[in-house]
Amino acid sequence: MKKWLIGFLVLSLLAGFAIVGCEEPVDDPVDEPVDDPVDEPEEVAHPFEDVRVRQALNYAVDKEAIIETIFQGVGSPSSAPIVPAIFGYTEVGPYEYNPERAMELLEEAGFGDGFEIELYHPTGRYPQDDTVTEAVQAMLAEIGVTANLTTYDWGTYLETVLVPPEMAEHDAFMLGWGTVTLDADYGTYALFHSTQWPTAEVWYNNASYYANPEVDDLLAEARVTPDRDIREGLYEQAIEMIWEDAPWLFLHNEGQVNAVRSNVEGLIHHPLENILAWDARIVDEDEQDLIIAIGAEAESLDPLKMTSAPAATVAEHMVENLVYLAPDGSLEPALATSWEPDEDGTSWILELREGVTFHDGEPFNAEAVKYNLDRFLAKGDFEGQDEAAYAFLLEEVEEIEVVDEYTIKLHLEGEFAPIISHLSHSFIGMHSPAALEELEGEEIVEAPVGTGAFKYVSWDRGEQIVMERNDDYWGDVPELDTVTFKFVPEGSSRVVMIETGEAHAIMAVPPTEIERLDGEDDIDIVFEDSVRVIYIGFNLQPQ
Amino acid sequence: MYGYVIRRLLLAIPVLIGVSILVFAIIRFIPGDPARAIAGVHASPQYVEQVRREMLLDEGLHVQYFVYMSNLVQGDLGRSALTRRPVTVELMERFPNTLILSAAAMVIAITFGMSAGIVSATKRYSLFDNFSMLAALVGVAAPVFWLGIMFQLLFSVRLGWLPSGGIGTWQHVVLPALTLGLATTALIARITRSSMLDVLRQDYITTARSKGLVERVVIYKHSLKNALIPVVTVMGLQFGTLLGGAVLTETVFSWPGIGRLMVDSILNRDYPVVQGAVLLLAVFFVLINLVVDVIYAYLDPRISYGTKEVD
Repeated sequence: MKKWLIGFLVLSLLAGFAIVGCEEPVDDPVDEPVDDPVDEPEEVAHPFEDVRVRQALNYAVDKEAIIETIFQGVGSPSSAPIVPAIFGYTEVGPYEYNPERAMELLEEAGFGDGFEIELYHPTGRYPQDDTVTEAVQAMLAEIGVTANLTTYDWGTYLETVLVPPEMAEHDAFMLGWGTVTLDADYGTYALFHSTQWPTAEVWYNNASYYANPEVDDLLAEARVTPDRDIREGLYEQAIEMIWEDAPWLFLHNEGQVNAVRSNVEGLIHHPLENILAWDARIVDEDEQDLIIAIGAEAESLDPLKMTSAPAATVAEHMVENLVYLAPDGSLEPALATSWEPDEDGTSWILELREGVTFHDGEPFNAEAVKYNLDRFLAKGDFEGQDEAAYAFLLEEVEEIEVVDEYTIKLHLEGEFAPIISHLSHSFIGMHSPAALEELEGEEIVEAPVGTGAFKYVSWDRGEQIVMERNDDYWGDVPELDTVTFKFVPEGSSRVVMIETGEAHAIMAVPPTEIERLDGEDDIDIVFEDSVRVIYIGFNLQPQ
Repeated sequence: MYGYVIRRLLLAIPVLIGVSILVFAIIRFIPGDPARAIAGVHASPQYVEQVRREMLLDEGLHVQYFVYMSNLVQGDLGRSALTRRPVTVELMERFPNTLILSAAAMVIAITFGMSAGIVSATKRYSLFDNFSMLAALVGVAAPVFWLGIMFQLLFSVRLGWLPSGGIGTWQHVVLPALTLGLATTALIARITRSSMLDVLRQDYITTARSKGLVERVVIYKHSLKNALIPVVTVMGLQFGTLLGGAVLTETVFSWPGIGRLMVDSILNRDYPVVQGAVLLLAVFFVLINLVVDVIYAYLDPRISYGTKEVD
């Protein structure tokens, strides 16, 4: 039997004993949640309408055990609704594992005898999603809560749980959320603002139907406050309230594990599930040809159609953004050298880097930026055409104005503070307008022409993308001659590749293989937090 | 003979139309909104709408089918909803890879399967027979996924003889072809053995032997050819299965074939690609079956195709 399974069984048993051994009443005073208006719940009330029940469930689940046994120690218990790498994060958790406390809270709320819930979850979407849900089910059973599981494949799942309250048949659901902008706005507004409940037409993402007027105000204000320190304070307050209200059973922050051969230096492991090679070199090999194996193929390298982390990872080597989001979450100059809002915060001026050329020799300037952003947003000359999949990142942008050759002005519909964070998103890369002009009809970019440290060479579908060093790069020219991303869907096959040296680095080492790889001298394991939180949302509007 | 082939090809047309309707309908019966699946979790409502329009999902099923069929007769399979590339291009990039892998697996299966089957049948209940039939049982039962990983660990990691995955040289073909071909090898070995045993009991073999023919001639000239009919049937069916069923092997060995493309497309609800891929496989299946039927006539002249000139 697998080690983790034994561990899991032992833990479940221990949890059982812990509860059995603590049946006598505990005298400790219990903090009454201040914002709970209900003292004696009515007969008909759904347990999740009582904040104490929601907190009880948070105390009842041993997040550490899930991470240790199911993920072999990769990841961390959620300490906020967003992960630490994100701007605006405040540490407010985790909810410790305390089944006694959970039982007390349930009894206070009048649900000491337990209750039954319908828990929906996807399978094959998040790492070990069904195993995690089963573990949660077992732990909830310990405090008398019976969770009936319903499993969906991903294609069906979202339309089952992202529904208006009157259509929801579940009491709780498992989901994950990656704050891909690394700015708390995207990780909180979309999930906790009361305007973001899913409707029959639009699948907004506040699927718990959470509504707290104070949180609403804080989140709305933080969107329009340019000062980063003040914003951080606003998010701190909002996150504290959300944590107390417990609209979710906060589970864990996903971790990512990469493996690198020890003769490779300078790879950047980015929390956005990217691995970046422009500063890398291979110490003892004459040929500087780096091979990285990743799990999924880029679906596209066209900003209009990119939607995944693999696409971003590959594209970033060839195509650059105006602003670079460093792994520590700070915003650094890339093709823009500086940016600032005007007086009322409704437009932003960006100064562009001079003397930069695209791989095809075309100059990079304000016209090129306008061309790319117009195309991304289907504005200007692109009016009436399709907008990009991620156009919502810049939905506040009304117009892009060329001020002079190296200055551009973004006119916003209103104040929107996270705009520069959003501009740093890997899907908003700058392509050579001349190359984009050559696309005909429904054609989209397959061979990107950017300004990046590497130039596109080839893309063998289902197999690999190859790129070579850009000797005319405006920044530090890389030492590597070529970088190849190979698409290897099976985790254990990636592990074999790094063992044999067929790859210098691999992404997403399967948890079960970590221990084995760790024992090898010439392979280093790199642990990195991802930006995704996994949670079980409560239905706060049970019908 | 030619008349027969042409008749069969014409008959294939309604079959393929049937397949096109079936796959068109079945994929639409899978629950799940394809626009949402393709747009991704984070996409805005506007973008989801845009994808829905591109895929004609806001039109009725009859409109979708009409557009699909009228494009199809012009040889246009549409564009992938996910990558926006023409489906024909996507298929033509992948299909040769799958063909190479399946053919290599088939060569392995025929070579080893038939040899083992013949030897087993002629040396019935010998050590070789018992051993190879046991091996065949294991071969049929071993999960492809496990087998592939075991091969990688042995031949790539431990021995360092062969690449663990990818495509390019003949060395890249060996492990995936072995993995994919093993179950078929086992099946062919068992079928060959039982078919041979059956034939060896026939009166004409007894006659051949009593005429004083050398055993080698009896086996290869008189029995094998006659024993081959069920074997060829299985080969034909297996080859079709290999083409469409190589998904696991393709995944373990990162082989850019059509099976992986199809599974990814089903998960993404990428209708045009699934439709195109299934149709392509159906065409091949029909062709393979035709070839098998033609081979029957060669193997056993008693099988006629209804044309009068054959006596």
